[in-house]
Amino acid sequence: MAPALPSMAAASLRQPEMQLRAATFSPTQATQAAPARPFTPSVITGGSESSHRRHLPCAVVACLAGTWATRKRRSQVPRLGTLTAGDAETPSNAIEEWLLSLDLPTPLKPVLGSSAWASFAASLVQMFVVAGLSALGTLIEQGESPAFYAQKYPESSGILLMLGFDHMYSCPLFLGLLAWLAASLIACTATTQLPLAKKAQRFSFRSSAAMKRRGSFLMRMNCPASSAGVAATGAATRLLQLREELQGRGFIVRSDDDVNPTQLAASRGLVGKFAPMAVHLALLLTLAGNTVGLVFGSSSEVLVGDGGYADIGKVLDAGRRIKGPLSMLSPNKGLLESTLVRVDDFRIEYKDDGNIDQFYSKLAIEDANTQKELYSDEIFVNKPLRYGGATIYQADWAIDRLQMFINGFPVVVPCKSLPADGGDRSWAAFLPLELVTAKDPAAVKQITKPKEGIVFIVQNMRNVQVYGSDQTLVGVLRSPLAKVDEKLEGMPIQFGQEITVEGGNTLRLDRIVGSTGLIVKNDPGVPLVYAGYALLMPATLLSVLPFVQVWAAINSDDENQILVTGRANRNQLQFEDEMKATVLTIAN
Amino acid sequence: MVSPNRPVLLPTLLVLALACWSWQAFVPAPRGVDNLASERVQEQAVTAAAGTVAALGALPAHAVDNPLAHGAPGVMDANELQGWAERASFGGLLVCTLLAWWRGTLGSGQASAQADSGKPPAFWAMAFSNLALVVLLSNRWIESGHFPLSNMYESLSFLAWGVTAVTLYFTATENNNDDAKYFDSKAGGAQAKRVTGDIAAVWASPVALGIVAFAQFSLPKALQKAGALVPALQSNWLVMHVSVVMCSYATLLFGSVLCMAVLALSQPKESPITAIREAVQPALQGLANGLQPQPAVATAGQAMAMTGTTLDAGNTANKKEQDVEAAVTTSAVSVSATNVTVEFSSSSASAVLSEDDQLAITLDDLAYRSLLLGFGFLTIGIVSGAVWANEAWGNYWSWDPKETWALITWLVYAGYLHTRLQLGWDTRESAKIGAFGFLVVWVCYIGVNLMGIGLHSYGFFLK
Repeated sequence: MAPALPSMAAASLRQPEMQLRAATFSPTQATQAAPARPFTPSVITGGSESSHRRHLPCAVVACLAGTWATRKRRSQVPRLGTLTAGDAETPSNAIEEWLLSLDLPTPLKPVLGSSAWASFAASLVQMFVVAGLSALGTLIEQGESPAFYAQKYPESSGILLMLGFDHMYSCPLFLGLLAWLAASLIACTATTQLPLAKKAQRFSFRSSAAMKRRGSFLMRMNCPASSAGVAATGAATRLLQLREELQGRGFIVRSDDDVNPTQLAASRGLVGKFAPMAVHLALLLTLAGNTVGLVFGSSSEVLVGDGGYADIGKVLDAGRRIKGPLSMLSPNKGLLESTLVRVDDFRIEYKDDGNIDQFYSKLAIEDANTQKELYSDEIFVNKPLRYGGATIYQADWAIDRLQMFINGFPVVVPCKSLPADGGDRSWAAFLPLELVTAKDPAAVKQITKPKEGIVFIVQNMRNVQVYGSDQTLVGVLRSPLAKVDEKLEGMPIQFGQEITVEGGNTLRLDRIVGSTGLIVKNDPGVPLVYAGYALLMPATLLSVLPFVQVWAAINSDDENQILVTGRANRNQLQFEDEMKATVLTIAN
Repeated sequence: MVSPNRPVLLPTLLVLALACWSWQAFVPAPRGVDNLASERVQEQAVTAAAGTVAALGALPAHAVDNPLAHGAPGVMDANELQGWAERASFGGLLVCTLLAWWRGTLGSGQASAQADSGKPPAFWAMAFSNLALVVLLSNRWIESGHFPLSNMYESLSFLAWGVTAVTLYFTATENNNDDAKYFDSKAGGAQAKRVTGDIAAVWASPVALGIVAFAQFSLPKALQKAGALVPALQSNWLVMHVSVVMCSYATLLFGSVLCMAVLALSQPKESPITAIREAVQPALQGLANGLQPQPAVATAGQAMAMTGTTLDAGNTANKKEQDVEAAVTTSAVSVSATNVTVEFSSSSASAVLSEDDQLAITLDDLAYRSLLLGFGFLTIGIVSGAVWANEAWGNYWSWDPKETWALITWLVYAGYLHTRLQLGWDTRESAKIGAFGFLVVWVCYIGVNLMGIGLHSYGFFLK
């Protein structure tokens, strides 16, 4: 055991400040925890495969970052120091090298006092205010009438309505806050993050004197010149080994001299400096997409009876959020004009217990002028139809009419929605008694007694309740399409596809015809929003990677001693552990 | 509509659980045997116990208040396997909580003597209940034919599974830092990490226990039954979206609970929590001594002397030794063959922090890592939800209360991460935000459903 050399002076110089901060880790431990290395000299061989693994996820963001990187200047001005190894030797560092060679745009100077309104503290406050207002919006009923608020919040309804908290998420205050947040995002990216990234791209060497002063730790490796028989180059050889070891661990290393280095500067995790900018960019993309959708988007609902038509262009026009002259700017102006959607079939599938399983609408897109069918598809909840920029969703339903036979003569009875007081929705239809009792319903020209007749109540597409002209329940007509229902306890006597009413007249239900509620939507902002989402997910994960820098130099006071120091912006403790392992590996 | 993913995902779930469970086989057993920080665990356990006893006390009260509350607690479904799995998961977590607290308070001397034999018993109890929950959920899956995340009971069970899985994962991997072994595997850092695992179990097991208890005893029976999926949920997105969101809840809850542990550790002397700690601890210790004579345990100073390095000399009470060695150098390793020596001196956190702070740092680091992971999950969950909503409801963002609260959760944790990433905040300040997130996650998860509004109440289609 060699005695530890005294380094009292350095140790006392480097009394740290008491700050409880350094322990930061990334969740992707696989990218951090270096593989276990035995104390053997063959350290370089295992290195490249492990760093392959280490840098794989970086590829995602690197590709995305490439979309806004303007040009490369790898071959132009050599940076401080020389490239110690070619790309062929350490391909795993290619992404970092590429990030290093990106020519970032010049950071903006803080403008309009942006260092204040876009400062970190300000944006933190903004985030919490947005969160608080959002929470308030879920507590206060949204979109009710002023009278409702006056009754429910007698004291504060005036303030609520004045601030627009009855429509929280579209009130000027909230939107203004979001706009401010977006402005802070831009300012933070351009005036804070960009300079940090540019700084991280630069390599600068540290003299041994500087290394003793700065850095979070200092390692001294004493390599007596005489011991290993390598004479005076003992320390320099170790430095070369350190260079290779660092490269094996995924670092990019620069040295002051390629063959006989005396100083090294290395960095790893540049992607961790770029990813936060990508996160901000992704959020901005999402917000921009939201704005585009809010301004130029169009969405409205239409109820179409089975077999009916709706003009897609007109439905979209009805749903436009901006009207008037400004709508001339809209990129989707006149979208799908004179195009019809035809409902070929609407049906509801029921489960055995009577609950709704799924709603299906068979739709066909048709040219209004030529009547040519352009496209057709069946939609259900979770599967919309997309055609020509419009998306048609299954959103609602209703009962349109009843097709039935009176004594064998076909009739169609239109249905009307009944006011639903909290319970299930229901529809009603009325069939005048004269039609039922007539020998030939088609021959009846005029109804003389409009108050007398049979009433149908429909609550689903399986069966119809029939009330006679004496206002008693006569029976239940079952739809032929419905699965056969068991006759339940307490049911009226008559139950089936055909029942007898009003003294021997038969009613046979042919079909309950529904109408389908379709939402027709066009949102030009969706591609932007999705692009934002696609960038957000990998960038969030990658932005936790720590950025670490290592400096090494031969001590100017003692040429047999190598000084190693380093810095990590997070994950300090594990970084120190890794550096200990690194230095010990080459010390052996 | 039967989810076509069933055959694929069921094995995945099992493999995941098994991986968590068997992880310890690949993890070397902790090498150090010392009792330095066990007192801290005790204090942690006392604080956690106080909070959880209060929370458990509130549970039956809630059940009584609830008009839908069913009769006898513990009455399970007719399905026998289901019942067994329920009882096993609940019992396992109960045992796990008791063991973790025992280890934390009374059995610390014994625990440190057993440290060589691998994981503490609480770990295995938690692994057992984790497996029981896997059986429970798989059984549900086979029974109902769709991914078992369609009602409150199932999602609570899944959440409990997630919390146990996250705890097991982080506990198992906490000691698995290979690089650290070169210099100071027995020094304060590694030891604090082991204690961290104990503290994590002390805090997380009652959370999982509470979730399971709520799901099985307090939830109305009607809500426990496996139901059919409403039209809007019949999509492959259900599996993707809901499972990711539940994973994020589990990870975030775990991280937030650890933030609370950090806060409890770093209370100032005059705070009431410290007062409670100091009042309760001697009583517990007396009880422990009465129950079982404590084995002779190395004192802090002796433990330090045995390690041979004084990397953490600043922590110890052994001033003499500190004076001699810390002044020379902090840590040195010599490689005799080539006569090369390496000295390491650190100015970062590990060198001169008090024992409390050292523990707080490792705990906080664990909390930070799990919150980072949870934040990533939450981001993916929100994004997948938005994409699904764009498919099913015609809009990717409709300010539905659940969506809004997910955004609020996201913003709160984004705030936490920003204070950690960007600003030189004291971690205790950050931990306050993290601990506050615990409340926000619960409002997002349960509170919104209690409000009974919005599209996520699973009945939107028929107004």
